[in-house]
Amino acid sequence: MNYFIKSTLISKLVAYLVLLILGTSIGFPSFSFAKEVQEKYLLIVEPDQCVAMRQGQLCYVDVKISWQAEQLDNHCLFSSLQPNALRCWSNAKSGKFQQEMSADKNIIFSLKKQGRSSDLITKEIEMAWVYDKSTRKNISWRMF
Amino acid sequence: MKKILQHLPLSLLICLSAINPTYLNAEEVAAEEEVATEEDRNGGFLKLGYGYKIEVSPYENEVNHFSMFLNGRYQWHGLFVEAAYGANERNEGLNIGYNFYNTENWNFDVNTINAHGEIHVEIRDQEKILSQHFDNTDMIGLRATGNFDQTTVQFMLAPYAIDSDYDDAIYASMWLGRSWQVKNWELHGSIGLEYRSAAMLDYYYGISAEEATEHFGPYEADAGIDITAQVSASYPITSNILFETYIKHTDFSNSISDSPVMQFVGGLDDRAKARTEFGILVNYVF
Repeated sequence: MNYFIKSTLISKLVAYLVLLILGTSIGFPSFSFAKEVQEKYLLIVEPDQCVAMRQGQLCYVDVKISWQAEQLDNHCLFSSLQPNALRCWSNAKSGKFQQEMSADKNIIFSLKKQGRSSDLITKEIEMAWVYDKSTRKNISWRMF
Repeated sequence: MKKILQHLPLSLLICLSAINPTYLNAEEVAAEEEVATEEDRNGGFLKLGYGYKIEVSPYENEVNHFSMFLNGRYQWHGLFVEAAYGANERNEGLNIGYNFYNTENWNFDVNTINAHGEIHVEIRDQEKILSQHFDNTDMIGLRATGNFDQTTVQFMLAPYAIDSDYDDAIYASMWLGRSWQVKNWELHGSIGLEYRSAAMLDYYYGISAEEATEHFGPYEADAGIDITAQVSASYPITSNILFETYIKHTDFSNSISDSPVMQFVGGLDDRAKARTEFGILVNYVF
């Protein structure tokens, strides 16, 4: 009888333990990972907006980027404008990058560990404009 | 039942795609926006500016001070109102019209135009005073505007004057403008020819035998063409704030500049025979 009670208790404990492990491995990792990214990496992109005269025009911007990590590693900086890395740093935990760029859509910058596809941190330059595309159709002469 | 279950996941996916717009790919969204933009011409813009303006002309003493500028246009179901005060080579004031036909590159309108401004002359010559006061001439005409990439052309013919004191007023104009993008700067150059009939110019600049004085003899003005050229540069500071600078020059037709009054006032201090204007301003675009 005692053995039966003990065995039931143990099986219940095992079940709770399994549930706890499953819960922590399924439910919480995304939160702990996000916290880890925020704490470990810093990516500063300036400016945060590029203003063109008209929607759809190429917007020219002199981008200044700096990043920091807590640990030394091989890091690469990417942009949504090209598949290749803008620049890679070997065994570094900080870096700076500056370049003039032109785009007609938002530019997304991401920091990755060299050889890995996942983003460690991302930042975006938003495209803005004074006149919408439709405004040109509405004007009879010129708008500025 | 089995058939329904087989199609259930596909049906759910289709329903989700219909409910959630993020399932549409970017090309589909862009295509939908393009169609709406092409069809809907309602809307417009309003640009309010403040800056420094220098202007010399035969019509008034030199302007050299801070000034307000206003440019705007709004269209609703073909009906439109345009306002151009200041930094715009047209500088035509307030016009209304109806946009009655459009093609891919051309807009056709019937609209009002201020074909000539008000003139007030009061000159004492010896014992006689030359006194002339003429109201502005507002006209109605047909206008065709063509947009070809960065080039704009516009033709206008206005044969009908609204409430004028004279007959046979005709105004016609032809404008050519082009924009260039240099980084985020927008450079613009334009040239315009404005024709005014003999009846119109003689009304404003002619001197009858009764009005004539010793130094301002009788004058009959012929038809003439004014030529205007302007270059401007604009830079968007934010999506609402625009920096702009421009210079504009108008060479008046011989018919105007040969008139005794214009010869006289064009030689006065603070005035010139031609009109030249320079402005530097900051605009808020609504």
